[in-house]
Amino acid sequence: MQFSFTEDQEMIRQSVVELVARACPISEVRAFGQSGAAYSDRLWQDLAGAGFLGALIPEAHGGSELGMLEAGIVLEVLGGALASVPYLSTAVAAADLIGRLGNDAQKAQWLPKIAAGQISVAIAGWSESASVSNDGQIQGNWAPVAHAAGADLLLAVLNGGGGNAQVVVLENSNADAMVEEFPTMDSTRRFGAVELAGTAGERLEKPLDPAGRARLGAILSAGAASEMMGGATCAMDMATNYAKERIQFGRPIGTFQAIKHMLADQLVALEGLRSIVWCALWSIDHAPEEALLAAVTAKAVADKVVLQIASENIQVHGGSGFTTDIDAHLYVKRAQLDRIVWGPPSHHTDFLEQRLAELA
Amino acid sequence: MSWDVRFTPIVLSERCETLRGEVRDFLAQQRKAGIIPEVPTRVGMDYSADFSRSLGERGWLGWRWPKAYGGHEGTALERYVITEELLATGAPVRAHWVADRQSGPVLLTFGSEAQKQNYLPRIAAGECFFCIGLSEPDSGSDLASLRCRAEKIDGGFRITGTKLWTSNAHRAHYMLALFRTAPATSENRRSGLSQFIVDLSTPGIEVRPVLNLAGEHDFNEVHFDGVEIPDDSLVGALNKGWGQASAELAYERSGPERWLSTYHLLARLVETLGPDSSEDIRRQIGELLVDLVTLRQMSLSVAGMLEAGKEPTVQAAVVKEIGTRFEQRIPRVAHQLLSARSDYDDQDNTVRDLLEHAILWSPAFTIRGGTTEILRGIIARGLGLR
Amino acid sequence: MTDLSDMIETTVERIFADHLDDSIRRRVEAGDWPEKLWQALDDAGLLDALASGEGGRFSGLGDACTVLRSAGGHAIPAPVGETMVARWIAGACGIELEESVVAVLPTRPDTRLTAQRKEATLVLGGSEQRVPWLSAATSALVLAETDKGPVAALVNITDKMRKDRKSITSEPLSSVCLDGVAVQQWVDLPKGDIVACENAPRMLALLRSMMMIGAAERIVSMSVAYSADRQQFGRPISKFQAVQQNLSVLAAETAASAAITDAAVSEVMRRGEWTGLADAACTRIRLMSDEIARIAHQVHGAIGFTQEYALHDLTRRLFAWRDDYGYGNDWAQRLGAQALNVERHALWPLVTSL
Repeated sequence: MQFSFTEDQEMIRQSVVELVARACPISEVRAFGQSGAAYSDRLWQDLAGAGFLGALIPEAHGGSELGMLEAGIVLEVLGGALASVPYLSTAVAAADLIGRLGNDAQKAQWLPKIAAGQISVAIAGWSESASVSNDGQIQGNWAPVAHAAGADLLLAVLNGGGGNAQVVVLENSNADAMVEEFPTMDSTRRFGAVELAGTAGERLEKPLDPAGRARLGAILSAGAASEMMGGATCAMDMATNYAKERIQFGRPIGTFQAIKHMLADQLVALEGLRSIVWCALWSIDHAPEEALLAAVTAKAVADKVVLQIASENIQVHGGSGFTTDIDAHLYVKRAQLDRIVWGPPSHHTDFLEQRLAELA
Repeated sequence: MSWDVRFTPIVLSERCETLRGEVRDFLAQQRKAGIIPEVPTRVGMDYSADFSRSLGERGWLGWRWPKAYGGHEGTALERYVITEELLATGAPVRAHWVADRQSGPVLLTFGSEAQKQNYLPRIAAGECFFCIGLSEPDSGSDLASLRCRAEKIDGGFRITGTKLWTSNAHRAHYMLALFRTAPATSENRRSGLSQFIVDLSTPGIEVRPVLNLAGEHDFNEVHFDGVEIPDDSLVGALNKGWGQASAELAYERSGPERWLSTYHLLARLVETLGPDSSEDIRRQIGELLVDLVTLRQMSLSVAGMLEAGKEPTVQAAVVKEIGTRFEQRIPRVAHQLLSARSDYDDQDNTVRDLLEHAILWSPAFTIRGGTTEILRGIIARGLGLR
Repeated sequence: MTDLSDMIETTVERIFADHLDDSIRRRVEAGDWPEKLWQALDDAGLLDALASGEGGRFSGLGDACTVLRSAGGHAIPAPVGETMVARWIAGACGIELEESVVAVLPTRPDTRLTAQRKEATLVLGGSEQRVPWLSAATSALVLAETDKGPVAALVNITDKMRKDRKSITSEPLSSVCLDGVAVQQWVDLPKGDIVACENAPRMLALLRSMMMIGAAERIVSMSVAYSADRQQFGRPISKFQAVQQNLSVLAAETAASAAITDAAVSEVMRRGEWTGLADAACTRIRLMSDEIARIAHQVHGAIGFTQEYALHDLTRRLFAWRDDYGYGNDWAQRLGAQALNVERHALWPLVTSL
């Protein structure tokens, strides 16, 4: 088993890095909060044009048939750039769900549009309190949901009985007004509060069995962890560059061991996170029984490490780190939301505790 | 080398406890009148010139100063009690805070008779507000490298340069600033600095807001473009300002404000979790209480040392180093415990609003008033390692 | 510090200089009893420090703590604190102790020892799993609850009642079962003394905390001295900022733990009763043990991990002592429960009243 990326994957990474640098400069990120857009359209179209939105979509439906690792690479770069696009929910989770559970008509209806960048999707995940009646009417609320405000489609994961879930696709048209803006401290993305009161949608034909639920959970956790990892790497780079340039007491502050060692510790932590994230992404297709555990572990580690690195970036910058003049605050605010929007930190540690207890 | 950093236990006098009762009664009334919020939704001290004046009227500002300068000749421990009650109740003390805590004491120690007569009574009355002019764009932790200069001219000084991170410069009447008045020597890079009182209404001073990451206007950039100030602006001795400013910084480090910043979040967290909490929650809350109580004892002890005329530099650094990390721990624990609850994302969850505000402010605690790294350096010096 | 406590400290330091060194500690680990050390402490009246206060139940606490802080700094391998508590309770109950070494039970906050009167006999019930130094004594002063209030009795502890093992410091630890043990003589404690049974665990825990403070303070001094001596890359390691920052954290956390422990002792003595500060003190040093030991060993490098170098005697004791007489959790939970019980705006008054 080879533990490094293939040449093709390295090329993809390089390609994504260049694309994102062009289409999503930091000036755009800073302005996003005021823009009122649901997501960065230019970046979304560029990703579509380069085939990245079709990473998990078969060629027959206009996709590029790459894989989870490639999707993870894209997520990492997007996270590092603080990009505001619903990649994880649309091109990864939704594409995977529709591709596996939809019938031919459903796949033909939505997959090509996803690959072409014509629609965005938000995921309203499994919720204890949500329910669906026999005639398809859904009751439930979810908040905060990433990218829900302004999304074209909502995928709701609901209890289908008999241990299975059903996935329902809902068109988010104005008439139904299912989504309200959910303001947060993270100005680089929009979040929504989803409320369904008797709304009906179209059910994907196949049910989501327990293995399928585990796969979805793994995709969301590992994908989020990958994005977070990208952000942490950029925060660490920012701190390191500043430490090399900022002179106090006659020398760069990075030469002081207090700073130097803090950054070294960050590098070590990040390397550890990298290992578990890639392991989790790889497992989704190659070792599915272990994927959820690996992914939840990756997310739990990311929850801790990423916020710490982003916070230390502010510490290294001193007073200026506490203002909006520099961008350090964006990474912290993003990390804070990443910790809760895919399930609160306790959710992941509780899951791990349970699995450990089962082993005993 | 002897490690002599002890925190001698302090017993508060009856007078202190009576005073505490008076302050509590007053603050309870203010809360009823809506001047202090019933439940705070933000961390940090609010700004209210009116409230500062009312404290001045009650005689609770300038507590330790001689009566000849409008003070009340009280003790450091009494002042400590007043301070901790004000902060724990969320009283809006921002306006007078700097003047009462550090600018006034600097003037008392180093100022001329005329300066003492001019400023101290007004500060004690809660009518005269100061801000701090120390940091510059290229001088944060390394304060001695500052470049803003004060050139001697006929009848005064001309100020050129920029000060940064000046909280409240947009609302204060005066700035107590450190400027360079003579070049530093290679033996002593801290020589050639002098302290000045700058009247912020002087023409030529430009105050530009610098928003913090919570989107609030607290910091400023203050630009001096050849601003002329009179001779009697100089505080203390020319070119000897470093020692005066160091004393000022020490004042800034030793109070309960260094561990009470996120106290209200703790209080609301405890209220939200309630008495039917699990053993694990009780343990986590208990551990936070332990640190809170420990920091309080240390602060009391430092106040006792100040009372005895000592200069507890290392002790104050220990309190701030542990205290500010404690302030950051409360939001982390609160987030962990609250985000696991089903009501966390409710629209009207005001505890969450307070938590988010605390999260936004968290990074500042270990930076402002001396970073953790610098404080550890001070402690290391106290251990004889530097 | 008062003149008297200076004198006590000088006396106790001299006794340790004369009668306590590594060879003594190794022999205790092998199962010996440190007779000369014990005799010297007893002859100097130091084991009566807690009992001899002349102004109320807790008035001897300060002197006892002076002795124990020093003892902790010298990694003492003897049941000094335990014997002090036994003599203190015996004195308060009017029970005469004949042996020099006497244990006391219960030792943990959640243990309930019971006693049933059967004519002229008292039949005990209850057990404990972790009693330090029990096997060094032939009898224990037992506090138990009857349906008519608490009683105190001097009980012969036989081998059959105990199961012995060793702690991480190779000092004796026992579990003990008192079920069915009968005593002919006992003292009924005053009815108002409803917390009498609680006194033993609380006092044992607080004294233990003070021993840990002494050990931690000595660890700080050792670490600072070592770093100033040890040269690497052409200079003392204390000149490296990373080392300085670590030592600062070590010293700061130790000073903070000492601060709350000293404050607790002072307040308990002043009030003449237990206070929440004691709970805080018992928690903090226990929680900090990991960090203190970690930094100290990190700074010392390999040499700190050898048996020859004295650091391990102190750090192992931090780990052993923190589990004696209650875990940090117990005390933290007690404080947490108090805080969670208060009404709005009442948390701060609780804090200032502790």
